Amino acid sequence: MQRAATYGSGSGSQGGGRGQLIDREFAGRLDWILLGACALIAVFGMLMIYSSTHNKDPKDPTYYVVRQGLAMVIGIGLFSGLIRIDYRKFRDFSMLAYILTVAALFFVLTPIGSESKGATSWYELPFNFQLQPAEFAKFGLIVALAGYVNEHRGDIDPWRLTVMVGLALVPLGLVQMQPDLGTNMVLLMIVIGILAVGGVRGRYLLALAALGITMIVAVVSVGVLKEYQLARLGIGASAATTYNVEQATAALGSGGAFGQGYLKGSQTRLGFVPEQHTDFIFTAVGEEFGFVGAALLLILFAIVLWRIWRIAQLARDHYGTLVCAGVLAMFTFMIFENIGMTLNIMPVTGIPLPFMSYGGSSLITSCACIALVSNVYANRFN
Amino acid sequence: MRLGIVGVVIIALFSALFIRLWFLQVASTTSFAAQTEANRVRILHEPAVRGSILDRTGRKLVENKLVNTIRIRRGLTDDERKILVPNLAKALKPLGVTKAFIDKRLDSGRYGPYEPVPIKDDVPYKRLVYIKERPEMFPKVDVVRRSIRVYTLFEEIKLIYPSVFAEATPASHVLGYVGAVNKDEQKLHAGEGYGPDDVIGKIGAEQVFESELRGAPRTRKLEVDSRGRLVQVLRDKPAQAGNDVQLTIDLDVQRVAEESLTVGMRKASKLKDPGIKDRFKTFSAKGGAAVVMDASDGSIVAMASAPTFDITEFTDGIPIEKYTALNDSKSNYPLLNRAIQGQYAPGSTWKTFTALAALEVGVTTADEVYVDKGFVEFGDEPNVQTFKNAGKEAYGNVQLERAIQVSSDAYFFTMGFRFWSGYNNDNLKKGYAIQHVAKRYGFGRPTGVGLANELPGRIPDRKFKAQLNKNDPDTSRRAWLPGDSAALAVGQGDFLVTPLQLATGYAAFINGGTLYAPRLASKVLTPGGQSVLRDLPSQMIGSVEIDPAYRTVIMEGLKKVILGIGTAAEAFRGYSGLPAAGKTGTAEVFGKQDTSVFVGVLNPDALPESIDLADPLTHQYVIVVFVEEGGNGGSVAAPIAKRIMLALSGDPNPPEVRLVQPKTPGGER
Repeated sequence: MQRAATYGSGSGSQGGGRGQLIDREFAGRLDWILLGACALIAVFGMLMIYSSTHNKDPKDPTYYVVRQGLAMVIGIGLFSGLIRIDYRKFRDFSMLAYILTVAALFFVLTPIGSESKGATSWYELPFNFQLQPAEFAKFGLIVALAGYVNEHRGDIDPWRLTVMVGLALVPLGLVQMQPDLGTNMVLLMIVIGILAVGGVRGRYLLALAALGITMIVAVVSVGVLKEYQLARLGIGASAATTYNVEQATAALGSGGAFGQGYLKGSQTRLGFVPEQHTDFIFTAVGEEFGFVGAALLLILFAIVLWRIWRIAQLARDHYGTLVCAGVLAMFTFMIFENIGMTLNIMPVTGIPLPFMSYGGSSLITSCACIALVSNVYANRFN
Repeated sequence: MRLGIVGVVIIALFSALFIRLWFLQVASTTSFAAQTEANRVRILHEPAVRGSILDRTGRKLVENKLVNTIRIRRGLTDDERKILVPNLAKALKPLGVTKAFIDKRLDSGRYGPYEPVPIKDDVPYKRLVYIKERPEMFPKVDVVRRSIRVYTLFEEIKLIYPSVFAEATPASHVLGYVGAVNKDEQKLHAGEGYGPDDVIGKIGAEQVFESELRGAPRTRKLEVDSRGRLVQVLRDKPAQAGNDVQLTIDLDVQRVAEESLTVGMRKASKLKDPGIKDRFKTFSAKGGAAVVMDASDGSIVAMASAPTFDITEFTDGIPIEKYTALNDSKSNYPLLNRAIQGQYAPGSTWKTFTALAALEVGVTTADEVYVDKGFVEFGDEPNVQTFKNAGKEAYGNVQLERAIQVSSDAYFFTMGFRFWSGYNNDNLKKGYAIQHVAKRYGFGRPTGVGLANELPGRIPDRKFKAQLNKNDPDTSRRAWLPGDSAALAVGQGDFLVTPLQLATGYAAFINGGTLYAPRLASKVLTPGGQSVLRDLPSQMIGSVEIDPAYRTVIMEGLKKVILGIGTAAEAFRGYSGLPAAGKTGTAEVFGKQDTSVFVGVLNPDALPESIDLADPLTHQYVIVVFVEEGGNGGSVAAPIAKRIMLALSGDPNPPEVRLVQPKTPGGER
């Protein structure tokens, strides 16, 4: 294709694109359905964050929304940057991505990192901003693991598999030391997703799954997990978790078919659902916009997943497919687990809802992941 | 390809989310709205000023006073508490507040998490100033005005009649008292907005007319957020003062009734009991009741129960030890209202109704001459049973009228045997003539006065006896025997009535057959008592047909009871009140001294057209007096009743009760 042929490594200085974020020629190669759906979800998310936080501090009702908007600007900026670098360049930097991820995860455990709510998972930045390396680890792991699996395409023997698992275990272990069980589960799903699509033989996958379960049982029984984490996984139940789920269910249930109206849901407005602007943002949607609003949101998410899945198929090379598979596994798990827990069909874990939940690190990572996928799409004919 | 499988998995997961979402939001029947409402809405109540209670002449028996109450707001930190509790205990020490008391109140589950905890009512101004000027010593202390019950009139009465009212108030049982709402009452009155800090009428008129007296509390509906902070006031309904209630009680008569009962009982306890060999044995006379009823409309003019108590003790919450003492056997249960909760054998006062039954079923006539030999024998040889008159006295030739006057047991035993013969011949109308009369005159069931815990009394019959002795191996004991009918005829055996029932039954007999539910109040007045909101008319609950000829002959007998050789003639010597009649009763109680009973009647012959509603002296009254272990009706109960009858005749301070020393041992009189 002609347009494709003119596109090089995407430095942003092409043709009439100078000064513009994305030039017209390049815009034509983007999957606007995917990007539109993501943008709609993000805007929806900002609305709900406002709804659930504007009463927290009457003097500054837009505190959370402004910060989320800032993160979104950064996310869009990062997206525009990443989209211009051919994704195959990332392949060559798999090792670097891996090392950076591990380093970031390691240093957060040192006194450089900050502790909050019993977990050492933040880098404290100026102006009250925090950086959550575990979020970025998702991106790093996708790039790195896809690269490694791609390299050994067709000859993944038990030895290679062991190496791969070993490599994956390092960041997982570091995340567990924070501890952040939710993120770890997402990372695990990324590993499984990439391996599954990467052509690892079925019985190896099964063996891997068995190993994973054994490890979880071991971790639980050895007592590495704290009581609240066990409760979150549905093993025993802490009062706080039960309260969370009850309030979430009440919020959703009271929404009914059409909801109570924006800013009118009492559970949301008066802050009865703990962590509503972060992990339980879906309950705000359910209470104020009802089944119709919640279903619409689910459809938007379905569109996003469908597009990623489709791009995985359309990818020009195996690496592109693997990257998409990683992103797909990540989003699928996050969406299902997050909404599932508010619906009381999944255990409560601290996993944000992509593009919706308040949290800059998560939003920026999601943007980066979508940039990766868009990149694969844009370069599908190259 | 593997991606296909991934796609299927995603579709499955999303379907699960959709289905679950549908069931939770659209198809669910759970009331999530109620759940979220309970989360966010708090309802707070502040009681209204309670209505006053007036007597039948409009005197205010119970009023309200606004007092300063010290309360502690919620949200006390541990440090604040450490400062507050000792300081407050010290400041309020003269008022009887201790550290332990404050701690107990603060930790009590009775007060809601948003409601301030009241510590002390009626705190003097000087102490309030001291507390209010030192917020650092008394963190989170509030002073609010609230209304408590006051009894101004009773304070005067206490001073004028200290011998009776020093430690008691008049009409305590009738008025009742208010106290903090308990859990059961909150459940019973769910939805009426009773908070744990509210008071509610516990017994007496305070309880019966609770809904009138209470008014409507100030109700505030608040919206709070998850941290309990006030977001907005959704509704603020102002308080509405309670209505006043005008009772049918007449304070003068009530006071005299209580004086007479108390003094009479005191004197009886020094009276020698001739029924006991020990010549120094006196009557114990530890409990009693008096009821005065206006027979024209069933109004209760006085209702006394002894021993009694002091309702002013309850205004600021009665200490638990004192309350326990009021429910104790040692003090003979002062809280018990014996007028409605005391069940006694009526003794010979019942003969009025036996006579009615006998005339109605024709086992005798007014003219039949009966020879009273002092005893009756019943049965065939060798099973002859002998029933004797009290004091073994023989009255010779008696007709019904005289049998009532002298209370001839032989005569009425004989009537009992005649009823029993009917029963034995399957003539149940005759056999159960007494039971039938008892039921028509309202015995054997609560009178419907509306006071709590009223007892029903008991009318024994064949079924009752079979049930009573069903486990007795001797089957003959389950049968209804001649002796049972004879005992019933003289108001003994298993027959039980309450003083109020007896008054109600007599009232119906006297007024010509109208059975009223006893009435405690006549009007509901607007707050402050300026105008009548609503009349509370008497409730007619039955109509009994009485042959005027029967009524006349029995009434003649009753009138002669207080004259000549009548059983109460000695007690009524020198009586100067309204036209009167009466009947004595001396009821035997197994293992105890006799119950002394008297039923007095005022204006027995008043015609309906001669009764002027506005002039109480023209009304017909029934006066019932019971004294537990008080001996003869004529010697204790009759003099007490006489004094009450003098009060009803218009003398607010009649001469003191003068008892009659019984000469003969007790019996059916």
